[in-house]
Amino acid sequence: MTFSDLTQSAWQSLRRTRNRSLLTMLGIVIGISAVILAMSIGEAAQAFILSQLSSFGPDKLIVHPGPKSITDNPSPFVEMTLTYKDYKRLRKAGPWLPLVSADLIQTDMLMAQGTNKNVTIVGTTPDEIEIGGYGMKSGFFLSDPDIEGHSRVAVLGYTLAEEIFGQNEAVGKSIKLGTNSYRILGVMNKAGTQFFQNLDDMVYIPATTMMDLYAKEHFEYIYAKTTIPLDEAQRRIEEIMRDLHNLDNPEGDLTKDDFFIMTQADAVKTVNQITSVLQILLSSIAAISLLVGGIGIMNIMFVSVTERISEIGLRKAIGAKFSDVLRQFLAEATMLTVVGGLAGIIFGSLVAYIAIQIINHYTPGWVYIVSWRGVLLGAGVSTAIGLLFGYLPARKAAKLSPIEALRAE
Amino acid sequence: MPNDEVIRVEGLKKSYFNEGIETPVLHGIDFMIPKGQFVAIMGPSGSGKSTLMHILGFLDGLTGGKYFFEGRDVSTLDEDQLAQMRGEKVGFIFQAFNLLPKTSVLDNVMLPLLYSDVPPGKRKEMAMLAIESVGLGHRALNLSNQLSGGERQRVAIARALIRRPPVIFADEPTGNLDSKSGAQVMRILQDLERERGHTIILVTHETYTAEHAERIIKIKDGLLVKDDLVSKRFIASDGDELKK
Repeated sequence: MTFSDLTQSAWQSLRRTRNRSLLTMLGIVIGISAVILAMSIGEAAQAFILSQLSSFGPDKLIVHPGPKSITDNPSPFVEMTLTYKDYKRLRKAGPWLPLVSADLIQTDMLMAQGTNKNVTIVGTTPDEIEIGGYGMKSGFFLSDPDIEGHSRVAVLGYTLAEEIFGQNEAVGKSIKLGTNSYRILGVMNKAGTQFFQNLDDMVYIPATTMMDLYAKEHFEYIYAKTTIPLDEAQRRIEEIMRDLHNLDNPEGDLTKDDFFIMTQADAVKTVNQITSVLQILLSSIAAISLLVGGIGIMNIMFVSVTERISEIGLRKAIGAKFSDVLRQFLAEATMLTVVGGLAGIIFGSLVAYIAIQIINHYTPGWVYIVSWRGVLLGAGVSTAIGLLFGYLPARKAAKLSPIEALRAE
Repeated sequence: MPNDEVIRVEGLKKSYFNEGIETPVLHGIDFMIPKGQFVAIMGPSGSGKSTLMHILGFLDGLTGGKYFFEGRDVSTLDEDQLAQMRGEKVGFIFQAFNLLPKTSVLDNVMLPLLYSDVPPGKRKEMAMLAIESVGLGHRALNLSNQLSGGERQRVAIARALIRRPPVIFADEPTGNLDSKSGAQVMRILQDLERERGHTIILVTHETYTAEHAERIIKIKDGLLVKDDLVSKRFIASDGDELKK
């Protein structure tokens, strides 16, 4: 029997019991769809999170307060340790660290032009705009004199400025944050979302002003761009920080520091860890439905063998060998699972596409990606299920004695 | 071996074993069938005639004696070789037709070629020839379940013929047919013997059907009780009806 004989003959057999074949396939369709869905959404989530970290370029470092915890993840209960002095010192570190910005964050009520709105205020420093690669739509960003002078000035995010002032010029006007008034220095260009924050919806004021008015002494992070390799930059910053914080830590034990440095590689590693756990979890659930589908295939193939005993007898009477019958039933089972698998890949991708459009509606930035890993896995797994769960029924058919099979009529 | 010998059995025995208990069915049978003969094997139900046909058609093994097909000792063949013999050397016609349901006449007739070396390109042509030889050319694309009983049995004959085996076994071929269709089937079988030189082995319990053969072997209780040439052979023609 040639391969095309085999597929044709399997196709004919499955068509003879079309409804049953379709129902049996449904188990595989659902299982493979679930795998594809899990993997597509997992990969899209990963891509989304990584895109959120894109400003975290390969030449940037973030200094966080608190010791690096053993679990690799920052703890929310850390002691704040990053001071204005640290910022000034790092800013003067040398040409290898040209840009340094220190940030702290506060929410407060914004009042301007009759608009009242709760906004996120970032207390920041002049290099912020260049490190982030953002641009100005009009006016200027914060300058060193604004920081030194604790000025009451503010820069608005693109969307926020539009919301308050519409098409009118915002620069030079004043807004109120809480009880304090600020003069608008400039409006930023669209910057999108970064680190899951919508940058276009924020107000930027001098970090020193925020420290005064909100009674804060520490930064939440210091953000820097380097011109030398990251590991060397990280080592130099660690040295400077230990010196500033009077830490005696010559062996470089990160758990003894009261700060830690994150790079893009660290962030990507964390993201990948989280998303692969997510994918394993989702795929395990999908695997269970595939197992159920596979058992369904086995069950129906056993029924099929019993129902077609006389056909098997006939085939043996006209010259079919053990291997011919075995291959025929295996081909039927595999065809069921492969066709079901292909349908599952298409259906699962479609559902993933729709799901991601819906997610994207609520959290912009999600993009549907065809999960090639999922497609290959789905195709491979469905073939394997057909061969695996089809084997026992096929062997039963092939072992039937032609006489018993013919007598069953 | 004489040149025209196809089948020879010597002291053929067959027992079935069920949970260690032996049930003998054939007790030692001897005969020889020459090439091109139309033989009827007759006997009441339970006589062992079907078992004998199954053994002669390589569907079942023997437990004693010898069976030679074209001079070859069948008991030395393994499963795959037996399957090959079934495909090449014999064709079967069953009482219940045993066609694949919801499958075209053409595909049913081509089925044996699936297990042959015939290249796919030539199969359709061979099948059409076989279908035309039983007068069903116009029905080739109909599904098997759209045919009458007589037409179905003719499809089964075409299927048995397609590999041009030297021997054709017919197991109660008219048992499920009305008398007119039955006569038509018997005529086709006779034509196969007389015009194409096939050896036909017909298994039946009806004397009238058996009289279409040129030789009748009677089996009773697992023994050959009579082996005669038919003195007044009935030659079927169109318009005949089988007496029931």
